[in-house]
Parts: sequence; structure tokens; C-alpha cells
Amino acid sequence: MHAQISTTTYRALAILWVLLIALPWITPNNYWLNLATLWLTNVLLVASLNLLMGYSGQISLAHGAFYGIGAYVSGVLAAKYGVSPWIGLPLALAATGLVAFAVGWPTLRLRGHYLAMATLGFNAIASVLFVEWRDWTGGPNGLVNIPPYTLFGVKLDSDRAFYFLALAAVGVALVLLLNLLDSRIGRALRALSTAEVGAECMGVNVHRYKILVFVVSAMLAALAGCLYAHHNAFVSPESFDFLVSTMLVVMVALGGTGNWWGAFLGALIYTLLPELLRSFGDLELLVYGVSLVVVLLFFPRGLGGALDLLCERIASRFRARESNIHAAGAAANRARPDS
Amino acid sequence: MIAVRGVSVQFGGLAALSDLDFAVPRGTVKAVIGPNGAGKTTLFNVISGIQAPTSGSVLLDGEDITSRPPHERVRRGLARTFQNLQVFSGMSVLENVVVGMHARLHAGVFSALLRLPSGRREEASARHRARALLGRVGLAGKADLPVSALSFGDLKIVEIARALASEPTVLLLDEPTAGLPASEASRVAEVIRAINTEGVTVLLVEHNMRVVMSVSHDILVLNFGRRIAEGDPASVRAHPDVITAYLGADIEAAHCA
Amino acid sequence: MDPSLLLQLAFGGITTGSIYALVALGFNVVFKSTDAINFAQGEWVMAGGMMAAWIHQQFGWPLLTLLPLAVICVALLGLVSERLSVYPLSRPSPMAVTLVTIGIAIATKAMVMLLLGKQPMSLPSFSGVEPIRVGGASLQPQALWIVGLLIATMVGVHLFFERTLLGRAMKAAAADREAAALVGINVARTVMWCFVIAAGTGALAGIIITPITLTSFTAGTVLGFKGFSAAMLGGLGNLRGALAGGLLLGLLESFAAAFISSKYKDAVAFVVLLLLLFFRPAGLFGRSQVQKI
Repeated sequence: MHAQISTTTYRALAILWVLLIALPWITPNNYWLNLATLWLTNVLLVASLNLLMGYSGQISLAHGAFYGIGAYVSGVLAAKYGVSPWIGLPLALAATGLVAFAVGWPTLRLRGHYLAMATLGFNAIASVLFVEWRDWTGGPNGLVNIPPYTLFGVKLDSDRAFYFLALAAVGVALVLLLNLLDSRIGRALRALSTAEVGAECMGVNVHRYKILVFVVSAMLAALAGCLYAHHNAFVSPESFDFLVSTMLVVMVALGGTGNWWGAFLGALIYTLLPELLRSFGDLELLVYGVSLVVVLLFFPRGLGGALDLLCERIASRFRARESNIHAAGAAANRARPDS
Repeated sequence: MIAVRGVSVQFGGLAALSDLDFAVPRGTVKAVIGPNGAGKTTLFNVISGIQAPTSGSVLLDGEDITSRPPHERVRRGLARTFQNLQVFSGMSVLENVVVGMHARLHAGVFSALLRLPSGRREEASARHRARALLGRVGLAGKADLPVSALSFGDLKIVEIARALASEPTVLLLDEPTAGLPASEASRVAEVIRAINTEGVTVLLVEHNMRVVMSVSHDILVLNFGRRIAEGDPASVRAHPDVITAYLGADIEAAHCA
Repeated sequence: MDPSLLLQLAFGGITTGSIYALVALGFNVVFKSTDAINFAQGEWVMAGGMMAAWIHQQFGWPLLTLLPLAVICVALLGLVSERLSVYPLSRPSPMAVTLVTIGIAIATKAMVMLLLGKQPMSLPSFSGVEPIRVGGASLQPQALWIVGLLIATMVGVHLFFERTLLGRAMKAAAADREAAALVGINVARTVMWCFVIAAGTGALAGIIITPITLTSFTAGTVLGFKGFSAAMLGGLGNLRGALAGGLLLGLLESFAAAFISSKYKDAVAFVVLLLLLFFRPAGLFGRSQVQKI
């Protein structure tokens, strides 16, 4: 059900990142560059939820809200109080982590899908607060004048500059995530997501680890929010509502719950589909709904899982061919007279 | 040593266990037998901490662990296997056993995130120890296979290796030979004897009387959640209440004798 | 404290509460048979109202024809949805079914938007708009319809589950799938009927509330959530709980809006939900068997 992290995963990620670094020189125009930047942020978002759904089997319907808390905390601190976004970042992460802890601690103690319900309620409350706390958030019209990140006095607000920032930030976050999953803790997470009782009886503090996963997951979403806020210069409540949270769940399922590369695929769909369906605007929603059902019925491991199966089939065909070659070679050797 | 004092478990109107009292002296092997539904697995669930008793207490080496969650009991030296398996699918046999060491390893979040060398070293030595453990139970050759590739019987042994990985002082084995052919069952019996020789106290639930008679120092017989007999194998076998409740075992035991 | 004000708030609370109760009923019925949370429930409520409003707009048919027609249409929609997306699931785990209902919800919402348009629509009140004065407070006649239909539905559903063979078969299947299958009950079929009932009662709720609040393709989401909170409040899976939870939630919302702030009115349902989860996940009537690890 969930990713087996190995050196191959790290290597593949490194290769992908090298290719992505070259992207600005390959793309014909900034449109694709911006799309790639958006995709990177979405990878972080989908991966954050994928971590939760894949490693603790719980659904969260509040990742839109965590995305929003990250965006608003960092955005408000910068826009209204002149706090540097570099300081706003850890503050936003900490704030989101605390909130996630508060929501998760009581609910994750219960057996069953109570986290889904709690997060549903929480996202709804967060949406109301994003609108009602106007003095900070700017209300329904949103928060404006959010400054960009600056590095050594240079504003990272050009498309290219921000792309590299996003690439670096998301890259670091993903490596840290991989490290976590490829450790004693990651193993404990995999154990508790397949046989919770067994894990508990092997010494894994299941409650604590579930909370850990939830908090880390929320913080990753908040990081995506920070990146979004300081690039877009403007955030408004609709970007963080229940629909967004639901879409993220759909994307995780489409990519394959728990599948590492599935998150990349899910994010790709999430980023490209609105663009592809731009001319058919209203069909977007229908496509999402139907695709989710189709994927759940025919690709229960998601598209990532289907890809894995495909790779497996190709790999085993290579192995079969190799062993045939070996067998043929051995037979030929036997047939050849010894000199 | 493990002791149970006045433990009762009520599920609504059903008394799964009623005022149960017994102890397993250190370094011995005690078998719990009884007809299906006698409360044996409930007893294990209470001792390992998955099921809270309605009343009564569980003591481990004199310490009251009744309110301690299961993962803390492991830290204190209690480990168990499961009747219907709780293996971690999607992982290899080796990794399953390494999970058993979770409580004995120390690498935390920080060490994990930064891939600190101390953590990596700990992992390497854990895998080494796990492989050795699998060798002792005769599964060295299958260590790197996914658990889905193993038979039910082999998986029961994997669970034993996994439980041993936590370096327990008390081991609870829930029907370790269920579903195994006679040859495999006697291999498990040997493993149990070997574990016990190293000083681990063993409490096991078993239906296979041959295994019970060959490994246990002591037998506890349950029926309807109550103790109906306790003592050494010979006296239990002859006990009239046991014979009444457990006729089949009596016939088998007579053949064993 | 002005008693007529309290009465007025109570009327409002009971009116919206009845709708929540009907929506909660749908959640409970699906939960009992699949252990899953039916995200499509709110969308079925919306579909019922939209369909009735659209038919009325297009054909001007009388309300007494519209009501059963729209209910049946949406119930059919529920049936088709279940057959196409839940029934074929090879492993209908609660998580899988929940995810599938998310897909159904999104698809339903999209279809209503595409077929019936994005404009808000309305229905005329079933028996006029002349408010009835009771004890200094005014009561809309539609509210009486709402409460009346709520009671009729609750009684009907209760009788269905207690007295009819199909209903009792469904209860059995919900209690123990395997045992039910062993005595010859077609378990998959009972799941289908649960979806049909949930869609039908949801549609009914949507139709009878439309004269008071407008309806549009976005109306389902929030209504669904609040209905879900009501179901949790009463205890998931408990039919009596749906009634109690719905009415209680409606009243809480009404009074909170008046005495705390109307701005946060929509948050009430969710604060209640969170509090429940933190302190009493089983709700009012649910068994306190929610296991702690």
C-alpha cells in the first residue's frame, strides 16, 4: 500500500531535480515555467496528504485549511507587520503544527474514521475565520501586498527566481520526508498502517506516531502555503476551502494512496487538468468526479500503482529474456565440442 | 514472571473472563488450554494490553501494568504473537522482525530527518541481529522475501522471531502451531524449548496436546472464562473437570501417553 | 428575556433542524450498512430541490406532483450511483466507499450544474406565505410542512425497518454481513436500498426547504456537512439520534446566531462536531463503544 523507499527512489528524485533545474532553459515561455512552479507547490500539497493517507490510513479534509494557515500566517506577518518571510516561514509552520496537534491529539486516539470528521469540521471553521477575522486576513476580499522572499537584497519575484526557490524548497522538503520514511520511524509507520494492533504490541506508540504523521503532514501543507502567498502576493479564503481539501484527497487517490510517485502524478493532474479543460470550463468538476470513481474501481492502487505494475511487467519480461539468453548460451556451450 | 489477579472481562452481558487468578513463575512454560470460546485469546489481550479488564490487575515482575498501554509493556519485556497473524504486509520478513526491535532502538525524528550516522549504524546492526534471529528459527533463507510469499506456518514462525527481537522476558504465544502439519508443529515446539532454555518465561495458548505436553511445565485449563484446573501435565490430564469439558483432548492425550 | 423572541428562535431552529434531521437520516442509513461516510448526501439534498424547482419552472406542474417525482428521480440517481460505483468495488472497505461517495458527490454536483444551470432557483411555498401567529411569534406555513413531512418520514422509515421484510433484512445485513448472507439475504442489494433511501429522504429534505431558502448547485455542500454534524451529534447510525441531533443542532444554531453572533452561525455546527469528537464521539444516543487505543 505504501512506498518502499530505497536508494533508487533517492536517485530517481535526484535525476528528476536535475532535469527540473534545466527546465527554464528548455521551456519556450514563462507560461510553462509558471505551470511548473504551480506543479511543484502542488506536489508538496499532495505529498503531504499522501503521507497521512498512506501511512496512517486516515483521511484529512483540512489540508486546504493547513495550506491556508501557512499562507495567512506568513502573509499577514509580512504584509501587516513587516516580518521577513524567512522568519514568517518557521512561524507559520509552527502555528500550523500546533493547530494540527490540537485537532489530532484527541481524535487520533479513537479507532475509526474520526479524523475525517474532525478535519471536515475544522476546515469549515477555518474558512469562516479566514473571512471573519478581517483585521488580519482582509476578509472575503483577501490579503494583499504580500512581499516576496528576498535573498541578499534581491527580490525573488520574477518567474525564474521564484521557480528556483520553489525547486529548492520542495526538493529539501521531499528529501527530509524520504529520510523520515526510510528510518526506524518510517518503518514503524508502515507497520502501524498495515497491522495497527501488531505494531502496538511490538512497541510502537501508535497514537504518538499517528499524531506525528498528521503534524508533519500539516506542516508540509503550510510550507506550500508560504510559497504560494509570497509568490502570488495575494491570498483569499476560497483558495483554502473544503473544495480544495476534497480535491487534494481526490488527487492522492488518483495518484495512488501511499505511492511516492503517485503524489507527483496527482499533482500533475491537479495542475494540468484546469488548463486542459479551460475551454470546457464547466466540465472540470465532472471530470474530477468521474475520474475518481473510475480510478477507485479500476486502478485501486491509483495511476501510480498502475505505473508500478507496468514497470514490474516490463522488468520481469527483461528478466525472462535474460534468463532465456543465459539458457541459450548454456545450451550452445554444451553443444560446442570441447577443444 | 507474569501474574493475573482477579481479572474479569465483561462484554455487555457476556463474561469472557471471570475473576481469574494465576501466575507464571519465572523461567517456566505454562500452557493455557480449553475449548473454543473459553476466553484464552481474551486473556492474552488483557495481558498484552489491548483489552482493558473490567476488574482485576496484571502484574509483570511484581509491577502493576494494568493501566499501561501495550507499547509500554513491550518496553518492560512482554512480547506476543497472534492467533490470526498481525504481520506487516508490504514488508519483507526481515523488516517485520526489525519492527520487533522498535522498542530497543533509539533513533528519533531528528536522527531520521538528517540521516545521522548514529541512526544508520543502529539500523545496520539491527538488521544484522534480525537476520541472526531468523537463522535461529530456520528462516534465514527467506529473510528478504515479502511476507506475502510465505506460508501461514512460516509466518507464525516469523511472528515468533519478531516477538523475540524485542528481547522479552515474558513471551505470549497465541496458538503458535495452529494450521501447521505435525512436522512443523514439532519444530515450533523445539523453538519454544530453546527460547525457554535461554531464560524466557513462556505463556502459550495451544490446542495441540502433543506440543502442550512436550513443552509445558504447567498447564492452566479455562472454560467459560474460569479456571477449572491448574497444575502439571499429568495431574491436569487426569482431572475429572478437564475430562468433562475437553473430551477430545483426553482421547488424544491418552494416545500421546 | 422576551418569550416571543425565544419562541421565534425556537421555530426557526426546529425548521432548519428538521432539515438537518432528514439529511442526518440519510447519513445514518448509509453508515449502518457500509460503515462509510456518504459525502454525496448533501448533493442529493441539493439535487432534489433543484430538480423540483426546475420542473416547476419548465412545466409549471403542481407541487403535489413535483414532490414525489423529484424524490423518485433522485432516489433513482442514488440507485444508479450505487450500482455504478459502490457495487463494483472489489473491496468495499469503509475508506474505499467513503472515497467513492466523494466521487459521486462531485459528479452529481457537476451534472446538476451542467444540466440545470448555475442560477439559483426557488419553489413557491406549499400553502402560501401568510405567516401564522403563535404566541407573539410568527411561523411560516412551510415550516409546518417541513416538520410534518419530517415526522411522516421518520415514522415511515421506522416502520420500514421494523415491519417490512426488506427493512429487517437490511438491519440484519448492517449488523453482520456474513451472517446475513448465510441466511440468504442479498447483502449487496441491501446496500443499494440504503443508498436509495438516503437519496430519497435527502431529496425530500431539499424540496421542502427550497421555498424558504433558495437552492443552487452549490447549496448541497454546507447542508451536507451540517446534516453530518447532526448525525454525529445524535450518534452515527442511530435513527432516533438523527431526529434528536438534527433538531438540537437547528436550535443551537438559531440561538447562537441570536445571542453570540450571526457571523459565526455557520461555524456552530462544526464547533459542535469538534467538541463531540473531543469529548463524546458516540454522540447522544450512540453506544459508548468507541474504542480507545
